[in-house]
Amino acid sequence: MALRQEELKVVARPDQRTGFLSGNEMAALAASQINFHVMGYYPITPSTEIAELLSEMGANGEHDIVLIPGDGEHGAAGICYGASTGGGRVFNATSANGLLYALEQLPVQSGTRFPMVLDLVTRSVSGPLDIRGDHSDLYFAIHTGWIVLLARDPQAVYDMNLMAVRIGEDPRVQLPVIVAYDGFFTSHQKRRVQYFAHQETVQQFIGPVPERITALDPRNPVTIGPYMNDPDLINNKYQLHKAMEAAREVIAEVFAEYAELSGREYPVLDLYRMDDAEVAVLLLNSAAETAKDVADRLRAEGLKVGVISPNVLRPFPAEAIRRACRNVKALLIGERGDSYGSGGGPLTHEVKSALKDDPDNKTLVMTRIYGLGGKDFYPDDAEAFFRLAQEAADRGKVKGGFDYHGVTPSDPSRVPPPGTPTSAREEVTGLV
Amino acid sequence: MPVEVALPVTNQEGFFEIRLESIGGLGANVAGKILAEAGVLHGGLNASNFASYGSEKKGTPVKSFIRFAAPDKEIRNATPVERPHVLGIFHEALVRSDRGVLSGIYPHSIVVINTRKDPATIREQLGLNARLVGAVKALDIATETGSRTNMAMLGAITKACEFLAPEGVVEAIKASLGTRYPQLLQANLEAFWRGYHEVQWLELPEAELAGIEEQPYVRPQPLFGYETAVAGGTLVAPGTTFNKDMSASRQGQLPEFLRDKCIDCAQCDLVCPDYCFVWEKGQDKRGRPAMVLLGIDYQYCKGCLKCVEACPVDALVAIAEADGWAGDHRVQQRYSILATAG
Repeated sequence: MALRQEELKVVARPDQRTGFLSGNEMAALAASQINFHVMGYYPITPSTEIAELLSEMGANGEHDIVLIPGDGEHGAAGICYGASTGGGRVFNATSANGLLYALEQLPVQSGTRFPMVLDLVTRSVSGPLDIRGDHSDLYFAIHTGWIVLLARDPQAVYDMNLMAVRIGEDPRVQLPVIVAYDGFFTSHQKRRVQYFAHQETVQQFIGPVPERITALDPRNPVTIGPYMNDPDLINNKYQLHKAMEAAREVIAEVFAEYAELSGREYPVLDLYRMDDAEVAVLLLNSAAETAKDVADRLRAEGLKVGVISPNVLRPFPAEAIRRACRNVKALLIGERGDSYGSGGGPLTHEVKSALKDDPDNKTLVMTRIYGLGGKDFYPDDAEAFFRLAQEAADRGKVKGGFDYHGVTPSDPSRVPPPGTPTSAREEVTGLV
Repeated sequence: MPVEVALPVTNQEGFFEIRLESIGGLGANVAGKILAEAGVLHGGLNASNFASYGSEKKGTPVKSFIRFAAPDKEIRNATPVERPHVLGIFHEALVRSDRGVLSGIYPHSIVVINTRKDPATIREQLGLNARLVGAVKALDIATETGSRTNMAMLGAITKACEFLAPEGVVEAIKASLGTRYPQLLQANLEAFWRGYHEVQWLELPEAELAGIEEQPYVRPQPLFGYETAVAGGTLVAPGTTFNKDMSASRQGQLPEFLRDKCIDCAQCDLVCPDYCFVWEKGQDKRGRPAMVLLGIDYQYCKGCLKCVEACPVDALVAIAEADGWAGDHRVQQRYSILATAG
């Protein structure tokens, strides 16, 4: 008896286990199964757990990753770059100011074309100090020439990490890859997840490291990162641009292959109830998930709403966004980070410029900065976004194209308590 | 395969929600994780679990959240539980210092609390307006078994979640603590089962239930906003911890000061992490000027009992804290700033 194609696929899928794990636990599990050669790292909340867990797993003999702590994130990034030039499969994890401290190394690595995987557990960049999650660090990372994959929940953290290895190492791409997921909302929340029962499954999927230039072959000495001035550098950057464009095809291939293997599909642009949507919100990562539940509720009320959420931020899915917005009357872009003085976060400008390239597009676009410093994005916040967009669609006009959502003016009658007077000299001595 | 179970009640989004109110160090985070994991791996449910994150200092308030859903329902919401069907209170002093601990419970909610009092008394004293109140002597159980408060609370909360088989929770305890602390597993399981069996319930009759007012959740708002805060976040009014009441950090025990045994050696003050010990200029036995210990300002006492350990003459002893005892025996600090600071 002939089996239907679909059934054959199910039969062929490798064993998976169900677990109850957080985003950071899934990142460590993926790294362990990938069995990177080296992890260079430096602890910073909320990404610290990944190296901690890997250290514990290493002690239990679960992987062979050599964990090298740096003297800071800048040093850690250097360790990773060095290991990658040595031909290694390399991993790192950081957040916020840790990323910014390492930032100047990132274009060096992409410009000289040495792949690795960096988990960016997104957190608010300090000033004032805030340890919780927003996208202000991610918004610095998108200009570095690295591929940026987004993971909206702990399951995606695992899946994206496995796929990141394949995408970055592909000879058509050869670029380092960031996997970004929300600090605390995803890194520390435990969810029901699935992962491959056997490490061989992962090893087969990622395959051996494809041959590339290495600093450690004495028979083929090379100079990595030599001086390159005005006649040449632009050509190097054009190569990088071409690699980023080539990544579109590679990402699609790898995502499709992984879907076959795991049963979990990741389109480049995640579209929820967008088929006939007239009103949409565009959000990154965990907030988009919250908005999906609200979209269900508003659909039940008869509103034609949907959620757009990229799984890939670099290369930017402009074409997919144009297609998704073809019949959308109003779109609200929620951004967990601002590009001060520009009238929107980077997403706003990129989405608007994508839509501008479609001469028939009539979508009204508005922006709301929300959730900075880890401020929770509740279902009623998502509802407010849908209602704002719906209002714009109904009026055919945007009211307040750019604004902040969820700020508190505060009660002016409330004044700070008087400060503590300084202690008398005798009190400082302790002899009262 | 896990047996499919039905949740007794769910909210508009289809979740059965639990909030655990605790202080750092009592293990509410671990308890929440075990409970949710039991639901997923042994209870045939879907679940999510996380804790409130801040500085995570021992002794500061912490919340743990659990969402249960039918196995085929996707859990997407990542925001804190505001309206819990089960509220677990790991430390009764929390309710006294912050009524927000009770915020958002439904009249039909279940409240489980760690207390030495019977459920009727604690319900009355703290105003626990819920259908079912469970009182469990979690601290005593923890002390007697050599376990921790969280295991006894976990037992009582499991009892409150009738849709969860206690055996599944036991499996999750073994998976979670068995490898890391194998020597404590027996004690932890004993504490769990004692909590499960010894929790005392008080159920309100239907008629009284109807009289309970709905308490909508009040989301905490920032004290200062963009119109009132100093630009840049600079604190221009010097802050102080002198006004802070640390009582809620105590976990059932505090030091009692016995003046007649004290030799004023100040070993206690050297180890005290806070401002507990109150001194006065006086005279030593030979009539020379010396500092004399007057007593303890329990506002600052976190119950760490380091002073008891340090005292060379047993002038400080650990006792179980009874209601009101600390207030009655407090000797207030006399720093001048206490008179002026708001």
